[in-house]
Amino acid sequence: MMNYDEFKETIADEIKDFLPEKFEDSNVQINTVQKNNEQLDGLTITSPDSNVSPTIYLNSYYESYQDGESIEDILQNIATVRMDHEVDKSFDITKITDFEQAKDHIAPRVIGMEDNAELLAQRPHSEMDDLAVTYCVMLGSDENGSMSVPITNQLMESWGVTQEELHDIAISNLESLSPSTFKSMNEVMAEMMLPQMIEECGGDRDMAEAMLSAMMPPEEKMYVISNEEKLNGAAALLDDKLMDSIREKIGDDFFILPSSIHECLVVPADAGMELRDLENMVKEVNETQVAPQDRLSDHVYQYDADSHEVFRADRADERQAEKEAAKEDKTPAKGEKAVDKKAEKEETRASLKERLAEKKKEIASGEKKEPAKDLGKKKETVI
Amino acid sequence: MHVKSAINTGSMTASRNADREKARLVAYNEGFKKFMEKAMKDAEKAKGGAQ
Repeated sequence: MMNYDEFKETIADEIKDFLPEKFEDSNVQINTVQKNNEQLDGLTITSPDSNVSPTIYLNSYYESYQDGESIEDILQNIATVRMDHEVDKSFDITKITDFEQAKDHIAPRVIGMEDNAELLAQRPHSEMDDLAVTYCVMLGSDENGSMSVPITNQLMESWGVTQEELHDIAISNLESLSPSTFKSMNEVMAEMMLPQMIEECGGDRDMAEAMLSAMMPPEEKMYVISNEEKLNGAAALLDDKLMDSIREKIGDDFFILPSSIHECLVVPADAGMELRDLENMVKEVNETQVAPQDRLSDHVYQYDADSHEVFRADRADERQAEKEAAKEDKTPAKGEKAVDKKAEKEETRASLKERLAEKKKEIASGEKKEPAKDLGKKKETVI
Repeated sequence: MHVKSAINTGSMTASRNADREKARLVAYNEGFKKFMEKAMKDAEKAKGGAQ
């Protein structure tokens, strides 16, 4: 039995023998890929006539090998996956490298900070308590899914923009790129399960609805926030309009359960569950039902409507004390206007627009300023 | 998806995994249902005790 390193080496050495002749001159590489909460080994087989190739992760293939699947069968399976995902035309790389083309497609992602230190060292990000907001360029969707490029420190530097600029652009694109959704758990469960249940009940919709209703809590007190694609929908937490509309609908106080990077749950504070119960529920479901690549956090959060910030519920008292202390320090002098957070935000947006217009001019005139030296959280870059 | 260029972008294709989504949401729904049912029973017991 080969160990994992020998297995990877064998795959890289032998895979071309299982592919058609046109792959003879292709370049075979295995790279470590940082994913949410985990590191995977990705195999790429890039043919000379294309600049795009699928990444095939080898980790699960090694598990199959350990379970007794032959190396020949595994090589054949990998070759089939590679051929099924062949992209004939060359990908237009300027969609990513040209900031003017990319900027309208920049979207935010929300991930947990705890197990993503290595990934975050390579990517510009902002912090939201122990959650991190990262950014990507959305390249469109097809039947295989939604294609995107994570924005690395290196890509950001090549554009000559700052993390703060990226953040503002991503937030302003949120509504057009991935509109947020807010639905009751009953509605989401019905969408997910009713079609199958009707089928199982021989087409009897009433019976299926009765079965579904028996699965639901006696009162509707749980809601799901995500986006229309239900992919990376935790970014909906950054949608101020959505969060404010939730407050209008269910009241000021609610808890946010980070069910995954794809969606979060909202429970009104008066639903009767203590914070400790909710935290235990999140931990248990994370441990038993959530795949590592989907996991967001083991903590429960709340929303501060004044500052439009999400924060950890177990730090609410600490945060309140800090806010009060800061208020005392910054009590406005007589006649001095208190700082309005919203106005401050609008100002930032306006100045961003001006800076973007400036950048556009710069690019049009062929002059390019050196990127800003201080690029926030940059630690290292990977090429 | 890997894009070969001066910048290795490590772009990726993600698709919704309905099975994984169902597993976690059903687990939360069940946990919440159990909790609410227990809370209702406790409230009824308390009511009965008071009477």
